[in-house]
Amino acid sequence: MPRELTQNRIQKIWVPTKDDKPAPRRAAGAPHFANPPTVIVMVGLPARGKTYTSKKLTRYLNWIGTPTKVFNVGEYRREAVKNYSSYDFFKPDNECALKIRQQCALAALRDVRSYLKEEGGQVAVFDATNTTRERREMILKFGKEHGFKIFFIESVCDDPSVIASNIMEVKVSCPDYRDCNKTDAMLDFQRRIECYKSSYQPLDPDRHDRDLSFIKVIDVGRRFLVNRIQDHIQSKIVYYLMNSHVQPRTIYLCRHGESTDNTEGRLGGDSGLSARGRQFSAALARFVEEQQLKDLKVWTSQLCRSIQTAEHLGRPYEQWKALNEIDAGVCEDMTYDEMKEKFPEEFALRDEDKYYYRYPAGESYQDLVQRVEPVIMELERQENVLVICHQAVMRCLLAYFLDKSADEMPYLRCPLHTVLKLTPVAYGCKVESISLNVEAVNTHRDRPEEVKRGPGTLIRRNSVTPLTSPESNIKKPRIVDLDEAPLREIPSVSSLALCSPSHLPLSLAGQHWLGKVCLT
Amino acid sequence: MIVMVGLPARGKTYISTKLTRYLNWIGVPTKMFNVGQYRRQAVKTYKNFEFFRSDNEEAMQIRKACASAALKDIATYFTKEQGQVAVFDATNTTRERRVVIMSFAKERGYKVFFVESICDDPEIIIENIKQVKFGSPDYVDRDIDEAIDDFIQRIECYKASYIPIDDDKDRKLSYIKIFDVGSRYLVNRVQDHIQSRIVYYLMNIHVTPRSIYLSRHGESELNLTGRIGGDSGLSPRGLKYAAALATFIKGQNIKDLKVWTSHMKRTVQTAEVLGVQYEQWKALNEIDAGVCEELTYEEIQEKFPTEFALRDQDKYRYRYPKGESYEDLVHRLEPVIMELERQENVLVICHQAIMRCLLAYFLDKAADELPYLRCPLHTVLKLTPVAYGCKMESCFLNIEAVNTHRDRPVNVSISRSPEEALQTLPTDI
Repeated sequence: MPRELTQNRIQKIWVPTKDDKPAPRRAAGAPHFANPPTVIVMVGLPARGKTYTSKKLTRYLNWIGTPTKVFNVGEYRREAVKNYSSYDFFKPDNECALKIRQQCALAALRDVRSYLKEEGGQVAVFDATNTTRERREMILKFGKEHGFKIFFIESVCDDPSVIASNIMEVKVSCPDYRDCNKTDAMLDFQRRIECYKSSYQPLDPDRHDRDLSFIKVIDVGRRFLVNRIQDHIQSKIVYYLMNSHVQPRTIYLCRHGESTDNTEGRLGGDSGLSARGRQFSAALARFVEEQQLKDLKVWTSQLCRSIQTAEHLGRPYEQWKALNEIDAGVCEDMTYDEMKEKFPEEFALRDEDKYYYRYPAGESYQDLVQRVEPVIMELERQENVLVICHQAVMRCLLAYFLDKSADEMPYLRCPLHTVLKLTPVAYGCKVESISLNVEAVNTHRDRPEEVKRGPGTLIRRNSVTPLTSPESNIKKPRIVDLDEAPLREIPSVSSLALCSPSHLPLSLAGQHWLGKVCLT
Repeated sequence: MIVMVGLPARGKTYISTKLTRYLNWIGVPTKMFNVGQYRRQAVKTYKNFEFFRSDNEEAMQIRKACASAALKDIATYFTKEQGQVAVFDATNTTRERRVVIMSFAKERGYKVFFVESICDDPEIIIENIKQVKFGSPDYVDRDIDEAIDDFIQRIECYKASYIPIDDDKDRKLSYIKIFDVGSRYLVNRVQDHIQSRIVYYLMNIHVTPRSIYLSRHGESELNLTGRIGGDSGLSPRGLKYAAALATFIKGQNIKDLKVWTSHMKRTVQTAEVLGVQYEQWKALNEIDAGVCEELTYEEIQEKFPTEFALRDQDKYRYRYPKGESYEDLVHRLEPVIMELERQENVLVICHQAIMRCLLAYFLDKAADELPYLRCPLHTVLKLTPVAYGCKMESCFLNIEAVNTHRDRPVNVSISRSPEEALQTLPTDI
């Protein structure tokens, strides 16, 4: 006898009745991702964009629902060695520094193992130079031992202006150089790179590394060499990397102007703009002019209010059905009060778990993320874009750019008549909120106070659940007061514990340790 | 212009055909121009490999003329036939030939993207020759060993003058090099969206033999009442079909079969009976009929006669009010197709409109045919890639079901009578 099916109340997914898990094993409408877990291993000289790529990729993977975390060995090193003094630390003949660096890598790998095996992680990004075959061998062995797939991402770039620009953007202001001026930092960092160059063994697709799975990104994406993609997630990673670029540009997100449905407090529908909505559209046109952008693309949904807004701009625009507002199913065109009255249970369920909740015969935020993914991919390819969309859709897009989790996404503030200007900067995104000073109703509903959280609804394997890229679990080094005499600070044994204490002679504690990290 | 590059039997025509099919399906008008066919037109009978010798002056002239003729037709396709992508399928193995193509394109403002296939594994080459060359018009009177021998000599003729795309000298060109049937790729200077999609597609396809099974859910309660859409469960006959499907699948002895369903009850119920793990895809949900959900065709004619007529006028593009069109479905299904390309043996349990879209992709059916493809209930379609296309076997599992297929009526004008509108209504059992 086939099992009876019931539709789970929040996601409206048909599951066998006897199944008491909150969600079926393959919950979302997307294919299940790489199983076993994957370790993405970055490879490349310093200032080649490894951390930039690690963070961006992690943000993307978390947004599409694959729990991913970055393990940056540099951070482990900064924990272990509280004060960075100079590039001497990175000299290839600095034996004890090499030991410390090795220990840091091992500590990071231990944490990778723990994340993937015990914390529900699916992808770990191992962000370090990994420039020697020896180091990569060690990682491959580690992967084999634990049943992890290994995928290398190597960034190769020899354009000095790109390198210098990278150093200025993210290195001179990093904790290692907090006591230095920019020029000194730049010089030291360049010498640091030289330390790595002599021992750098790039991935060799023709001989030594021909059986490994990897992508070589050459000259910031001008060329790619892709070897032996094993599975779906590696294929998506490659596609994402090939669509990303680093050209400066700005993305503007806004909603359509206030609609007549908005003024009545109605959800969904396909109504036109109110008078104030038209005012906003005119204001938006002026705003866009003032921004003086080269080549702005304008995208709208296929709903009337979004298109009407774009029409005021007097520029060509492209309509995307994927940008349509969330489908409220049986609740379309209702006010929240009507919904509460007609479908009180649904109303309560939605507040209980707004991300997963699917309107009957409609959609959930989880569905939206999947629907909107091709838009994100195309946004990555583009340069300056203005997206005129809707509240729920805008929340999804914003969550991607600002690395917000599924839990936060449905409550992000996206008021009418406000433009969000997003500019990529360093490792993230700067956001400016610009209200165009045209009154509108408020359509935002906060998370109700007394909401019971559903059981374990957030961490779901194999489903589309944006998670915020987790913070590294390494304590960030405390900012040392510049006036404090460095000699007084003695590293405690616990900080050295990251690097197995047995490898470090006791003489490292105390005065000799500080100020000069190179200890030969 | 997509320009294929590579020695014979490296899969250029296979890739060209498949890529063309994919691009057309996603709505990008694409056409393939195979220079070999132009050559067969010009030189009615093929004798032997000597035609391809580099010192055969006369043949060289003919071959050059054929290439030019193909390029001319490409220009016509772009300027007069609204084509968007042309796939120039020839060896294009000399730098000289590629320079000619580049200047042709530059003159007219066409973008060029090269796809080079490189393979030196003799086993793969022989297999290719057996699969597609043996059956070609060139070898229609030969036996297989003769054909293989001759073809290998043919390849030798090209080898001497073959200059692969040079990663250094040609670094300004946009291209992808495919090594050893997809084991490795080199991608250089992707210029735009369509090239990016092409690269993604090429990196996801494979040539491992496998079969794709397409089936609808078992007959549903709403099917029985002649209503469209909705989310009802299976009828008793539908349940019988699910059991028959389980038996059929077991009988096929498929290694590592993946089973996919939609999020709708009727497909999930069908899969449940199989007793195997399955994955639910929202993208496989039936077309959303918007305001017409759960109506019968008679009710649609009564309530929305104009809409009903408009749908018959252009069933592919017609979008139900507050619903979807077949065109929307294709966009929705694209990630499913991409994943199907990556996978091996898969059984997809879906719905009528969805199955039509998927079938149109595999069988290269145009938009105007797509909405009228026959996908009856209780019938499994087994698709197996073969040579340049797909072999299809249809298996009716002998459980009766209602017919849900509605042909295009003769009169599609909005002024037609109800009888004319309902002329092709599926007749129930």
